[in-house]
Order: sequence, then structure tokens, then C-alpha cells
Amino acid sequence: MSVAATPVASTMTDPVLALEGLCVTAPSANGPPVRIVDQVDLALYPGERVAMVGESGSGKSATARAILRLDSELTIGGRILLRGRDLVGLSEREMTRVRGREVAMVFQNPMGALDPLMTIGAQVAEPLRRAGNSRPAAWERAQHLLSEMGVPDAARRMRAYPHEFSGGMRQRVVLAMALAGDPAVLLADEPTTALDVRTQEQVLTMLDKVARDRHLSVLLITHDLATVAGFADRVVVMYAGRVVHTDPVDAVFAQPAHPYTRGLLEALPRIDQAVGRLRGIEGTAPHPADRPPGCVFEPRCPKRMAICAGERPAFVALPSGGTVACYLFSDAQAADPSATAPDRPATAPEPSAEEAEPADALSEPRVGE
Amino acid sequence: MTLLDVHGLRKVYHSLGRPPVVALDGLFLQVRAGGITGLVGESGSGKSTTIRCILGLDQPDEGWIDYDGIRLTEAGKLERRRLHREIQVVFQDPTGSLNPRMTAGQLIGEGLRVHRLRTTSASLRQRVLELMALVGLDQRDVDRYPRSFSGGQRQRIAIARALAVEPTLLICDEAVSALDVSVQAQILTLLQDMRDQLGLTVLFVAHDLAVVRQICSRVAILQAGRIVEEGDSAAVFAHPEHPYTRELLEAVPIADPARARARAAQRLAALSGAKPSPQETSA
Repeated sequence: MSVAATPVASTMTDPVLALEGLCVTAPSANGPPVRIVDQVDLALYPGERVAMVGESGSGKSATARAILRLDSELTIGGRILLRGRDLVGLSEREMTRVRGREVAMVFQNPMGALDPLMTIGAQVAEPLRRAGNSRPAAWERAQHLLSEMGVPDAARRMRAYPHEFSGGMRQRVVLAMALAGDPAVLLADEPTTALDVRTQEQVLTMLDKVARDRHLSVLLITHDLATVAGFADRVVVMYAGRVVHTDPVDAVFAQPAHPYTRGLLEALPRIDQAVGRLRGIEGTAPHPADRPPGCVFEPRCPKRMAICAGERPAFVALPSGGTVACYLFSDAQAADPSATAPDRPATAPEPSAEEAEPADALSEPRVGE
Repeated sequence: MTLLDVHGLRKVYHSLGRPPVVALDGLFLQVRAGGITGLVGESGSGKSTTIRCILGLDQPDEGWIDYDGIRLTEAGKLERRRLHREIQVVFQDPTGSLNPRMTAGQLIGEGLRVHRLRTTSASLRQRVLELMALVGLDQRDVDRYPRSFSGGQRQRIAIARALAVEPTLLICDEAVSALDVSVQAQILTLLQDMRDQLGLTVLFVAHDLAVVRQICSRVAILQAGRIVEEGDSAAVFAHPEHPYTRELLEAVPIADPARARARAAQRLAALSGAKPSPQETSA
């Protein structure tokens, strides 16, 4: 994404996946539609691992699901460029060819992705069959994939049903299914959250291995910053449907630029250091239907200034190579009005979304719990 | 002083056509008054069964539980009534434990009515409002229903409800596991405050070692229905004795990229059977 685009893990190439001004709007039963993802820019480079962090309702999952267009009732705006091709205009039929083959996704709850009445083998082989493999070839490849994901005794276990697998094993099965189509991009939505700590570590290590072996680009969505410390190259912090900060992983932990990122880290109980009391963040996140007009974090921000309530802050480049949308870091470059041009070059700062907010500016932000 | 003494608890669950499940296999646990004791275990280790036995929702097959000089497993009706007030519990999912047809005020005040701790509606309401302030809820929300609260706020209602009857022992069953980190931090701080201000004793059952380390003075590690290690929390985390404790600790994610990467490289190497090269650590 703009200045933050400098990939950590790869050389300067084109991103495999780029979101430009992605907006996701949900219909609302009583009232105007709600924009749950608001002008998100993101670039994912070949072989890069980006962690998307934020609390529940911040729009992480909605962003990932929008990439594959999994929810037909949502309206998607902006551009989703997969190797330069915009997915937003594709027909459902064309999207079917993207899902699984170019971009695959795994979810927090593997049981939701597995058919309880089908054997594991049949489920892993299914996408391979659909891709045109013969039955025996698909079966053999499925077995190979399961072994690769560390399912012991795969040949025999393929005849078992999902309920006979443990949570960690199910997640491996789902990973095998996701990789069956040989995708270039893997979207992993809280894949280890529901697992026990040791299983969590095993699944993450497996993900690490296959991402490396296959040169996958991974977008790992999680609410737990500690999980991504050893996995991600770059961290994207989302808050109330917007990206507020993105930075290489080391910079995020060493010097969290955005006050929200800092708040997240200070709220995190740590196994490697003791503090008397966790700091936490006062209050609660605003509902996407009533984002504050200025910085979305302003009502809760310990460092808020008068300017923060005014207009949405533009992105500012950080020395670390990241970008942050925060007035603490404002500089002349970020205030440049030309930066709001829609077809900005890849090196321009983010646009400020001044005209994007009429509905959001109507209501007062809710403060405090 | 030991407030809760769990002695040699054994519980086997039988189900038709399946081998019996030994949920608790000789569990010994002591909870000291005025502190927060952590009970850590993975899923299936017997955490929930332990809680169910303490609450009297399940009867152990062997062993006994003493609470403040009362043998829970043999308590009579009157004693039970007292215990139901003194031992309170907060569960993981506040949505499941709050009646959706009751307002926050009714939910928090229910225990006060049942135990006849406040007899006039004015004094009941007064106490409910005090409790809401105590746990950081907005008093204006007293007549709202659980659905209009966020997950963190619902958990506060559950805590206020538990604290309403002035319990001596609060059992938290994964009470912060489902919460966002910022809310989790608020609830953990709240529990620390309750311990310091009210002298509350807490049995904090959780699987997250980082959270347990943060607030527990003592910790017990549960594996397959038995305590494998118990002690002062600082000591156990600094020098884990049991291999299982060590294994658990090593699996906890470290929020330090350099160390976390080094460890990830080790695991990766272990997985592929090769030795980690120094370059691998900067992946």
C-alpha cells in the first residue's frame, strides 16, 4: 500500500494482490447501508506474509471475504487487483475459477468448511476432481497433500469422517483442501484461534512450512498480535473498518507508531515479561454506522488533539517503511492535496477520504463503555 | 489460609458403547484466600469437570471438596444455600449465561432478591447501580437488555451479577478467553481490583498461560485429570519443573519478533528434521 509497499521479504516486484480503496457495504434492516470496510488499501507481494490485526468488528474478516466475494449481499467498491486483473467486475462464474485456484481461504472453524457426511479423502479430492483429475489421480494427490500437512497415516485416515479428527487435524485437512488448487495467495482467517496452545503452534509451523515451500503469499488475519510476531513480515492494523497503520513486524513491536497499535500491545498479557497492571484501551470501538468524522480512534485516543476530530488523517510515511494515519505524524507531504487523486502512483501517500463520509459524519461517536 | 481444598477428586463419565472417560484422576488443589489461583489446562484436561464438581453440578466418584470448613460433597440444604451465595461463577460466554428477556438491572439484582439481601426495591436498585459503577458499566444502561451490549459489556454484567451477592470465592471459567485484548485487559484489571479492594478469592480457570501469568499469584497445571505442577506463579513460570509445563510454556507465542522468529525457525527445522541455520532465523 502506497509508501508502505516496500516488501520486506521479496524484491521490488508487482504485488500479487492489491486492494485499492476497497469498500464493503452491508445493507441494514433499519437505516441506510453501513460501510463495514472503508477505503482499504493493501498490497501483498509474492511470498510475503502480511498479518491483519484488529479487534472484532474492525473489518478484517470482511476485507478477506470481500476478496473472494463470499457474501453476495454485500456491495464491494474500489478495486481488487489480482496480478493486475480487477476481481470486482468479474462474473460469479469467473470468480469460481479464482477461488481455490488463485486465492484460497481457511477459516477459524474447520467444521464449518467440512461436510460431516463426507470422508476426509473425498473432501480433499473434490477440488482436484473438479480441476479435471481422474478419480485415482485425485485420491493419490489428496493423500500426498494430507501427508504434507502432517496428517499421520494419511492413506487410512482419508476414509475417516471429520468428527473423528481433532481440531488441529481438521485445520490441517482444511489447509490441504485450500492448497489442492495450488493457489498463489492464501487468506487465513484466525486459523489457530480456537486451538489449544500446543496445537496452535503446530498448525502455525505447518502454515509457515507450506508458505515457504510453495512461495505462498499469506494474509493472516488475527486479533492476537503475539501469534504473528514470528510469522509475519508486515502488520496491517485495522480499526473500525479502516486501516490505521501498517509497518514491518519489527517496527510494530519495537516502536508502535499509531496510538491504537500501542494500545493493543499494552493490553496484551505477555509470557516473556511481567507488568503489574495491563493498560488496555478505554472505551469501545465505534459502530461502523457512526464513525467519528475525523480519526476513527480519536474518541479513545490517549493522545488526541483538537485537529483529530476534524478531518480523517491522511497516511504519512514512517522511517521504518510503514505508513500511519495519525496527526502525531503529520508532515507536509501528507497534506499535499494531489495525494487524493484516484489514480495515484504507487508511491503517493494515501488519500484522505473526505468525500467518502457523508453518512458517517451524521452521528456522534459513542464514547466509553 | 486455604479457602478451597480439593482432595483426590476422581470422576469417570460413562456413555453407552464407548469406553469410559476418566475426566478427573485424583485431583488435588488448594485455593488460598485472598489471591487469584490459576488452573491451567488444555481442552479435555478436566477443567470444566473440576468446576462442575465444586459447584455441585456433578458429583465426584471419589474424593472430597472442603470449602471454608464445609464438606461440599456432603453439604445439607441450608449449607448449600449459603454456598450458592458465597461461591459464584463467571463463564466464558456471557451471551449464554444471561437471560435475554431480563434487563441488565434485573440480571444483576436477581441474586440479591433470591438471597433476600435487599428487601426494598429502592435499596435493590441502589445496589445494582453501585455494582454497575464498580464493574465499569454505564448506569444509564440499567434497563437495557443483554443484546444491546457488546461482548465485553455483557461479561461485565456477568461479573457484576456474580459480585452482587458478595461472594467469597469467584470462579472464572475461561472468563476472558472470548474477549478482544483491550476488553480482556479491562476485565483482568477489574479482577485485580476486586481482589485488592474486596479481598475476593478467585479461581481463574484458563488455557492462556500469558493471561494466567499476568494475574495469578499461584498456578496449577492440569493434565489428563491430574495436577502435574503447582506453585507460586512466578516460580512456576520462571522454572517449570514438569515436562508438560515446559511444553505448554514453550508453545505460548512470544510478542517479540526476533525471539519468535528464532523459535519458529527451530520448529520448522524440527519438522523437516534438519538443523536450523542462522539465516533461517531472519525469515
